[in-house]
Amino acid sequence: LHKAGWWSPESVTDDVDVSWRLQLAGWRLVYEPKAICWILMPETVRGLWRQRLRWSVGGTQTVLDSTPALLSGKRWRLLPIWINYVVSILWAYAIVIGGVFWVIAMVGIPLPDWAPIFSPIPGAWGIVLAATYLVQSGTSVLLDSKFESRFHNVMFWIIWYPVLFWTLQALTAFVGLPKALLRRRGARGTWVSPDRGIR
Amino acid sequence: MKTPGPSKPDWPPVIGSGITPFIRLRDTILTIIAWIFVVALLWEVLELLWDYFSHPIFAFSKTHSLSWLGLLDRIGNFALVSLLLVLWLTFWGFVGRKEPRRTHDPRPVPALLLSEHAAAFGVPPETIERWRQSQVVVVQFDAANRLENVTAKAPAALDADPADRGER
Repeated sequence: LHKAGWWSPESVTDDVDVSWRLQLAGWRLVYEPKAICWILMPETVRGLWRQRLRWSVGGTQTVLDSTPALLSGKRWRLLPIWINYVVSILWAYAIVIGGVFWVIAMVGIPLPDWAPIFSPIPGAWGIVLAATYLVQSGTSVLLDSKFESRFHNVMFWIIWYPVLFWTLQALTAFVGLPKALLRRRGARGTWVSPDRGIR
Repeated sequence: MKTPGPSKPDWPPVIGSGITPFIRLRDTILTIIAWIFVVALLWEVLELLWDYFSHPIFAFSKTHSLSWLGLLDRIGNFALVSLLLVLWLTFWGFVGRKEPRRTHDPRPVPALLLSEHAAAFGVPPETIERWRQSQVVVVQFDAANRLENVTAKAPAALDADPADRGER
């Protein structure tokens, strides 16, 4: 941590930022399945939106800031993660812009042929991706179940990822990119913890 | 972050079904509806798979609007790329899990010198030593991100103030 410059006071996602800088400094991070902890999560949609938007801004800021170091330091190990992030943002923009055109078309305004239209009602590919995700989640739960008792219970709730959460991710990525780009250099990274609506 | 002891029944603040029975019931019903929605979308594929893998196995007992060839034609390239990525990740996963053991250096990592640590934060080493004795430290920075004020808090104060619980 000392060599990587400790935690950045400017980042709004301290964990993402410091893990990227550690790896850019030549360290390796490995997955420890036995390290289990719990996390407090937002309990309202507004709280969830604010948290995910902050994560999006922080993640984008980290990826943008890391790009010169990644290329000049030749840390190619991080390149697939970098590409994954950039492609995810492009995907989010495609989804949101296509969704906006779909709404315009639905209200009867004629659109030019080049306008991409994405219906929020899943088509064949939406179903394929949702099914792929469920297989992926099932495999992860199968692998991680031996480290955490009753972990398989999460499979019941995991359906919200393809049904709703991806839309939230796309919207936060869409809003998060300009926020990250316009964020003043040197601005303090501060945030309020998720709401605690339910007692 | 302070590790809460067993004497605090409200910690961690897990929202159990006893606390919010209506919300739990609502969420369960909505989740079942979400599953029904996804299963309905996947119905044709599930029916095809069920028929193919049930008795008589590897044969269809009735005609389906979908066929293997039709399915392969639509998602063949996607399935191939996915398979290659899975193989690629699995291969590097197996290679990668051996690497930490192979490159593991059993010699203990020398502790960071207190003077070096203190210099990074612009404070005397004895101040760092004093902070280390505290379980909770509230740190304030100035506009230039330099340490401005550091207050050691008593551990009991942690329970009273949820903002100090290391939440994300």
